[in-house]
Amino acid sequence: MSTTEVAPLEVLEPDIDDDPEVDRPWQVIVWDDPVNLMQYVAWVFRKLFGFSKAKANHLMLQVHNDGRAIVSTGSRDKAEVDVFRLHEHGLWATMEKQS
Amino acid sequence: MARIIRRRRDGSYVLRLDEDTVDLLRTLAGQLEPLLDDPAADAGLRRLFPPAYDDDVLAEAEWEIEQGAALRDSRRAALAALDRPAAEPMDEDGLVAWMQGVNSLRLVLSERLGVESSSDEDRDVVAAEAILTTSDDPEKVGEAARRLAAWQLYDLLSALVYHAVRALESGED
Repeated sequence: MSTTEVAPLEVLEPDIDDDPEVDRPWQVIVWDDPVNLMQYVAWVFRKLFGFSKAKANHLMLQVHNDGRAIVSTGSRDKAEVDVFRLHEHGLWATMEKQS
Repeated sequence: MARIIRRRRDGSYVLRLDEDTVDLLRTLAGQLEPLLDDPAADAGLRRLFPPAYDDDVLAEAEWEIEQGAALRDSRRAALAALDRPAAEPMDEDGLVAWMQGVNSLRLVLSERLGVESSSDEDRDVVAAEAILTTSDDPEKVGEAARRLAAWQLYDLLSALVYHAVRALESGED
């Protein structure tokens, strides 16, 4: 048995608590387009996200009036699923990290 | 406005469309389907395959590799849903696929027509009608007639999507 003393290794762990890049969730944005019908867009929001009629209409009008609306936030994987389903329904949706 | 898609008591949906309209949808779907093999080759398909990442070229390239085929398959399934007799009942998923197929045709036609704002149709239709009534140039008259026919088709597809949403909403109550 060796009696040599070994100095403990110092492990540098990333301080993820201080890294805003790690903590910020992703957000899914639906952009206004002149083609999709307003009723259709509100219906898609209800179907995909389970929103009430009032919330779906509010977001649809936000898209129409402001040019964009954030319809979901969460992990990157969740955002990718949401964007894909919105694309399936013909809506113009992108994802980005929340600022 | 009459309901052209009816929800029956058993929860199924039936199209109240004449066979000419159903044939038209089938024909248009058949024309669009082969273009899905290479969407990047036709700018008219851009609304069917929008970007997922606006400001990250690498992430967007990765997205296209990972999700592009799945989205093409989904588009094909929606177009296939248009190949059906009008009288054949559909369940809710069937109607949603049918509506997505109609909307896919509409999105592509909007690109062919150059729709950039909701007022484009009125402006273009007025201009085309003016050409039809005043021009002696056969080429201009022919182009104006084609654009009017395309706008009529666009209106038909819009009405079908509108009625599909109404029918689906009637199933929510």
